[in-house]
Amino acid sequence: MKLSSTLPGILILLFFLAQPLPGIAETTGAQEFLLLYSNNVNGEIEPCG
Amino acid sequence: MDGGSLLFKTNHGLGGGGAGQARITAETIVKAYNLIGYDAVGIGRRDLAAGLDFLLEIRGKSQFDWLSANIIDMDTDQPVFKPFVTRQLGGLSLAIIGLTGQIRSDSKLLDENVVVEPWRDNLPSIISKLEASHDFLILLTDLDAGNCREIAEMYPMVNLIVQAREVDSGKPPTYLTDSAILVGAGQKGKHIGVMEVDWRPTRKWRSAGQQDLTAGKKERIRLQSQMKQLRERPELKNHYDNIRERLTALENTLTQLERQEKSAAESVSSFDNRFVAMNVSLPDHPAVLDLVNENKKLVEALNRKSPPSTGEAVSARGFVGWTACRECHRKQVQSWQASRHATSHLTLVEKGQQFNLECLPCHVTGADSNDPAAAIGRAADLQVVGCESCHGPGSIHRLNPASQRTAPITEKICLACHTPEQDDSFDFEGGLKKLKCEIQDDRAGGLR
Repeated sequence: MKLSSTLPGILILLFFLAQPLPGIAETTGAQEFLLLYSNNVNGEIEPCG
Repeated sequence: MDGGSLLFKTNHGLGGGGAGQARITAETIVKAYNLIGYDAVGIGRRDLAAGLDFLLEIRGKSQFDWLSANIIDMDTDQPVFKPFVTRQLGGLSLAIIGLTGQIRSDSKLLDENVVVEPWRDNLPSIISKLEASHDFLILLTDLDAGNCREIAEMYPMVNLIVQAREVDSGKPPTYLTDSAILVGAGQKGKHIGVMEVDWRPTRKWRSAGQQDLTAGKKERIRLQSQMKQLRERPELKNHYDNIRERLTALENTLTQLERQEKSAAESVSSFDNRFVAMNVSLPDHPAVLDLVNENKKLVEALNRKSPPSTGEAVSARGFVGWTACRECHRKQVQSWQASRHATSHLTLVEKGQQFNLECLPCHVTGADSNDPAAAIGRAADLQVVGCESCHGPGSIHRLNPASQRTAPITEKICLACHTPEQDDSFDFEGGLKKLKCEIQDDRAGGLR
């Protein structure tokens, strides 16, 4: 089974978001901005095994 | 920011043995979101699965805002949560509004005096409050696409809708109107959306002419195709000439539109949207890893101490375990023992997930997804993905092997666990060959 090697899930998502990028937006110029978004995490934390 | 449906995978209310574990996990997710520095999360129906009181408790532990403009306390006629938050970004003023999808008024998820009102009752006043003083309006919601489109059409000042939608991965943003786009990053935290926005004072993502241009180009392809077919049919020459005339007129219109669009391009806003897959190759953040490990310990402590099931722990009804199968099918069992099915429960133990009720149904023989806690403490020869996981319960077959054959294996059985999200390269035929325990069945046309 490949169950152990898929679905990085939120653990890695969290790592990515925990990098220097800010939570919602970072100004990059006069009227430019960056948005980071997620949805439907659905209580998922980590793959099973 | 997060479109919603963060905490739970159901919106029907938590029941059975999994409620305690689900609450623990929800709290861990919130701690992680605090750590990341999320600004705002829309409240989706799934966030209310453990009830309003639990979400209020969670809100007290959150360093970000839970938003909903339409969860209303009937006693005070006020929203229970913040309806919106605002942020200043590089000279622009952004407002983020939360809207929750409809929940039946008799739902036990809400208090007696709390309701989720239709968005038409609340959104207009909020929009009118925010539109004059904000440059960019974002909506976080688990409303369906039809409602999102209606909102975009009614309120051109809404510019971005982050929708909690049930798709595995992110899909390209959809234009709802010239001034609003709909985005969603996919579920289970497997992707995040990254959108770079260049926002112009016209507050439009595209000009009206762009729509006409797109439609015109499609029509051109259609007419060209028709002409190609008619060219080989001289008896339809009149029809051919008619199409050719229409195509010539369309070409002229498109040339004009393209010219107009070229000059309008500088006044419309633009975005660059991409989805980042959270691949296993990305290293774990130490602080987040600590949270996840702590979550595993809490789940283990909860379920080990008091397995939340009324089911029988050691045996599973109708299942006899692989050691019983071995009495007659020695060769097949030997082959199976070399497969990863034979160590499925061990992989959970190695990861400290053997008490995780979400995992057990696919790692233990005879586990019931409606009562996964019953699989905790199963006999050793059931703590595997054994023969009966694929062939079905063997107790009747064992009593009368000649007349009571087990059911044929079908791909559907495998796909219950080898889902695309768990195993995106699953190959039914290849998987069976790999297991090498099949015997061709000459009666039912399947493999046994």
